[in-house]
Amino acid sequence: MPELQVESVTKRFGGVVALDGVSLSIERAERRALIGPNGAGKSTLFNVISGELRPTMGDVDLAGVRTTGMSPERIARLGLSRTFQTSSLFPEATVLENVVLALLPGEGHRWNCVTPLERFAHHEQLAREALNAVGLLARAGSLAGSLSHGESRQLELASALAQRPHLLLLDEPLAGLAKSERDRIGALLRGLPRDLTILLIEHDLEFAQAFADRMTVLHNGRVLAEGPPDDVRNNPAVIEVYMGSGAAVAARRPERAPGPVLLEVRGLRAGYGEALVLEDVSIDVRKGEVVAILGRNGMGKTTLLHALMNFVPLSAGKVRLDGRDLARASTLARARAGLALVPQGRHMLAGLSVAEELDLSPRPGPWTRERIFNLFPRLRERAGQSSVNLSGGEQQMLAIARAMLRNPTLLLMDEPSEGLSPALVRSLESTIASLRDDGETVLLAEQNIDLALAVADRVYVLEHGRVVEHDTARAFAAQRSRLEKSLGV
Amino acid sequence: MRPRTILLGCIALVAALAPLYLHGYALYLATEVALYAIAAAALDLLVGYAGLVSLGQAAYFGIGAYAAAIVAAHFGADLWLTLAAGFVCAAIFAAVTAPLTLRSHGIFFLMVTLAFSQLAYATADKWHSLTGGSDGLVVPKLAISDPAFYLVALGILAAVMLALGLLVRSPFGRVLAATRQNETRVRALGLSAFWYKYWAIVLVGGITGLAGVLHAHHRAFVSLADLHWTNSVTLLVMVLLGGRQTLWGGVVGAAVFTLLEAWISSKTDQWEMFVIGAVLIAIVLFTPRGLTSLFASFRTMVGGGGEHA
Amino acid sequence: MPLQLYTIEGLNSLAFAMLLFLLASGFSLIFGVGRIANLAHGSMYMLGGYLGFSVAQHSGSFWLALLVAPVAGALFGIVVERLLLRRLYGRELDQVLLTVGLAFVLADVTRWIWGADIRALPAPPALSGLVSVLGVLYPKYHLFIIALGVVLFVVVLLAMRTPWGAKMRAVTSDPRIAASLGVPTGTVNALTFAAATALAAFGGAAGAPIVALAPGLDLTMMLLALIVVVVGGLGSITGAFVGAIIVALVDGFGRLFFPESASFLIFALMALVLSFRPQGLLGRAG
Repeated sequence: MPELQVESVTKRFGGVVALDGVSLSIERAERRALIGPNGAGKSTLFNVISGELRPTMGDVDLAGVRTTGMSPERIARLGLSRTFQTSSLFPEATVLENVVLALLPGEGHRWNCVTPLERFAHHEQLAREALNAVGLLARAGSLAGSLSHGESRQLELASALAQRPHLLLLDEPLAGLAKSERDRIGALLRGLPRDLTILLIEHDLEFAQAFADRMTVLHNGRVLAEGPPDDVRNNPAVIEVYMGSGAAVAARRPERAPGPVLLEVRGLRAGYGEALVLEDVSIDVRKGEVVAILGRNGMGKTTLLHALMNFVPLSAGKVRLDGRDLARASTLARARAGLALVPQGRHMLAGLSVAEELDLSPRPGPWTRERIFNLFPRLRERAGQSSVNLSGGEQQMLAIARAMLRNPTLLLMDEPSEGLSPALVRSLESTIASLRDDGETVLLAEQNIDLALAVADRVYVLEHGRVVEHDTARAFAAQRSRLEKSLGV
Repeated sequence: MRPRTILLGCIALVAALAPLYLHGYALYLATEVALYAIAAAALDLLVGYAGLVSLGQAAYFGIGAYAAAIVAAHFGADLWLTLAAGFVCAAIFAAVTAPLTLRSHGIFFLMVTLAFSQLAYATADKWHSLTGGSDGLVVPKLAISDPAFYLVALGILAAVMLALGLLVRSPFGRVLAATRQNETRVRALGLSAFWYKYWAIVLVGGITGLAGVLHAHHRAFVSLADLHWTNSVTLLVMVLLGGRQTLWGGVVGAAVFTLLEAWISSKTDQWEMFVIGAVLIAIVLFTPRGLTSLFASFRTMVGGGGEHA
Repeated sequence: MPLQLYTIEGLNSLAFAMLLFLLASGFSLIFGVGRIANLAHGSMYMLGGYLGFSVAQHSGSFWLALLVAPVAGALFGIVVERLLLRRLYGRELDQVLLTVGLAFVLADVTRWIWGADIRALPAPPALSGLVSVLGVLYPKYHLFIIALGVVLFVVVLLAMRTPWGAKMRAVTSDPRIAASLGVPTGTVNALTFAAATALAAFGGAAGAPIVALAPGLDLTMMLLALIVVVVGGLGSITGAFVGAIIVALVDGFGRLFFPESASFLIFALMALVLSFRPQGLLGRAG
C-alpha cells in the first residue's frame, strides 16, 4: 500500500485550472521530488494533500485512509507533517517552545490548562533531541522571530521531525538561503531518517536530483514525466520545458549601436523578511536595448523586478534611472520617474473595463490609445469588457498596453509568457520585437529561453541571487550549452 | 524571591488591607476597580493572547448582571448563587454565539461580536417581563458589609488572575497564543485552532459575567446601560491602556481608567464619553503597547528587570 | 385601512433608506479604497445634521445648510485622514480603534455645543405640507428625500465611472499595481475620505427634518449603516443602495408588525449575514 496516493486530482479556481487530473503514488520510505516551472501547480498540489485546499475532483489517500476533504489538523494527526514556502513559525515563542508545541498532539496534554508548558519534561526532552539533530540546540532559548532564515528552516525541520510523521512534505526548503546555509540545510535534509517518506518541492534542481529516488515533473497542472532523476533529466519533453526547443532563432533584426546607459544597478541586495533572494546583482540597461534576465525559479528574477519597482525594499545597493537615484523612492515616484511594470500573472484590476485600465493614468508621449489599439486590435474590440474576463492572452496584451501608455523610459516585463500557449508566445515575441524596433527599452525577466534569445540584445543569467553569466543573446544562441548548467535540468 | 514577585506581593497586601484605610466613596471606587479588573483581565486573554478583538463584552457583563438581579429576586440575595448564575448564563451566551462569530476574522469579527451584543441589548429592551425593560431591575441588598463585599471582589479577582495566569502558561494558553501568531501552522501541527479559541471565548464570557454580577450587587440596580456597547469599548480601553498580553495590564488599566473617570465626573457630569474616546485615541497614537510597557522600559532604564516582557 | 398604513410605512422606509444609503455608501467606499473601517462615520452624519440645523437657523436658508454641511464634512474628513489616520498606515485595527475613539469624542463635543435637547429642523416652505400620492396624503419632504436619494445613487454610480472613480476602483482592487501605474494612491485615499464624509454630512443635514437630532443619533445611524454594508456587501455602491432599502423595510415593517422585537430583527439579520455570508448579499470579499 503506497504511503501517499493522489488520484486524478483536479483543482479549479474559478476559470483557472491549477491541477488537471494529477495522479501520483509514493511508496513508504521513498524520497520524491516534485519539480516544474512556475505556475505548474506544485504548491497547489501540496495544499490539496495537506488539506488546506479541497480538490475540485479526485481523491487523496494517506496510507490507505481517504483524506479528501479532511481538515488540515486531522490530516496532520494522521501522520502528515509539512513545511511552508515562507518560513512558518511562532515568532514570539522560543525555539524550544516551537518544537514542544509540535509535540502536543502526538505526546499528549494538549488540553492541559494548568501546568506550565516548561514542566513537561518528556516533551522537552524530545524537543531538545530534535533540535540537537538539526544543530539548533544552542538557540533553544532564543525567540524564534530572531532566527536567521537558515535557522528558521532548521527549526521547521526540527518541529517536523519531532512529530515523527509518516509523510513529510517539504516546500522549497532551500529557498531564500545564502550558499553556506544552503549547504548546511541541504546536508540536514540528506541526513533525514531513511525510513521517512518525503515529498519535496525544490527549484534547486541539482539538490533535488541528488536527493530524490524518483522525480515527478509538473507542467501546466499536469504530470509531464515521472521516474528516476536520470531518466527525467534526459526526457526530451522535460528538457524542452526548461531549455526551450533549441530551434534556430528567427532572423534577427539588425543590431543598432547601443545608446547611453539608462538603468544602472549595482550591488543590489533584497529579500522578503529574513529571506535573502538577491545577494549582489549588478546590471546595466542601455537605451533602446532589450535586456533579458534568465534564471530558474527562486533565483531572483521576479524579486529583481519587484525591487526595481519598490514592491520589495532594497537592503543594499544602488539603482539609477537616467542618472536619478531611485534607491529610496516609493513605487509611485518610480512610476513617475519613468518605470513601468508588466507584472507576473498580469494582475488585472478587478472592477475596471479594458478602456478604463488603459485610461487610468497615461502620460503624454508617442504611445497613444490609437497606437495601442493598432498594435492590439483585440483590445479595441473588447474595450468595454471587464478586464478580468479577458482570456489569458488578452490580459497579457492589456498589461503591456497599460504599461506602454505610461510612455515609460524603461519597461519592466516579468515572465510575460507564463501561462500562454505556444501560439500566444509567438505573438508575444513579435510584440516585444516591435517594441524594440520602435526604440523602446525593455528589461525582460523570462523563463522561456527561446523567447528571450529571440528578442533580447543582451542576456544576464541569475543563479541564487547573483549574476553568473552575461553575454549577448547572439552568443548564447550560438552556444546554448553555456546556459545548461544554470538553467537546464 | 524575584523583585517582581515582591512587588506584586506588596500590591496585593496593600489592596487586601484597603478596608482598613479606605471608607465610603474611596472604598466604593476600589470595589469598582476590582470588578472591572476582573472583566479587563479576562478580555486580555481574548485580545492580547488569542488576538480576538471583541466588542461583545457588554453582553456577557450585562447578562451576568441581569442574571444576578433575577436570581436574587426569585431565590434571595445569595452571593454564591448569583455568581454561579451569572457565570453560567454568560458562558452559555458565549457558547452559543461563538461558533457564529468565529466564522469571521479581523474587522468582521469586531462587527459580528457587536451585532450579537446589540441583539442582547435589544432583547433585554423588549423583554419587559423579565428585565423590566428600560426601567431596569432593583437588586435585593446583600447581607454583607461594604468592606466584606470589597474583599469578596478582590478575592475573586485574585482567583481569576491565578487561574488565567496558570492558563496562559499551560499548553492550552500557549497554543492559544500560537493561534494568534500563525493559525495556519497551528492547524498544520494537528491542533484545532477553532476549539482553542472557542473555549477561550466561553471562559472569558463566564468570567465577564462574574464581573457583571458583582456590578449588579454593587450598584443594587441593573439597567439596559449595563448591556450598552459603550461598556465593551470601555473594557477594551482598559486592556489597551494597561497593556495587552500581560493580564496585569487589565488591572492597571481598570485602576487608572476608573480613577480618571471618577475624577472627571467630580468636575462635571458630562464628559464620560469624551474621556473614553480621548484616552483611546491617545493610546493608539502614542502608547500602542500600553502603560505597563512604559513601566517595563522604565525598569530597564533604571537597571531592574532581566526577564522577557 | 391597512393598505394605506402599509403605503405610508413603505414610503417612510424608503425615505429612511435613502439616508442610510448616503451613510453606508461612504463607509463602503472608505473601506474599499483605504481598507479603513471608519466607525466615526455616524458621527459625521450627526455633525452634518447639527451644523445644517445651525446654519439654517442663523441664515434662515435651508438650502444654504444643505450646501455648507457637505463642504464642512469634506474638510473635516480631509483633516482626520491626513492628521490622524495616515499616521497609522498599515495598522488596520488601530485605525478602527482610533475612529471609535473619535466617535466618542465627537459625541460629547456635539452635546456640549448643541445641548442634549432634541432639535428638529423644519422642512423648507417649498417642500412642506402634504401631497396626495398612491392613495394617501404624504409629506412632500419625504418624497423629496426619496427622489434625492435615487438621484444621488445615480450620481455616485456615474461618478464611479469617471476617471477618478476608475482610480478609486483601481486602488480598491490592487493598490500596489495601481501605484506602479502612476495612480496617486495617497491622494485617492484622501479624496475618497472627503467625499464619503461629505455624503454623510449631507445626509445628516438633508435628513434632519425626518430624523430628529439628538445625542445618540450617531451611534444609532452607525450601527444601521454597518448592517446595511454587511447585508449589501462592502465595496459595492449598488449593494449599499439595495441593502439600505432592505434594512429600512425590515426595520420599518418590523416595528409595525412586531413592535416588541424590532431592533432584534435588525441585529439578528446582521449577525446571521455576517456568520454565513460575510461578504454580504452583493459584495465581493472585503
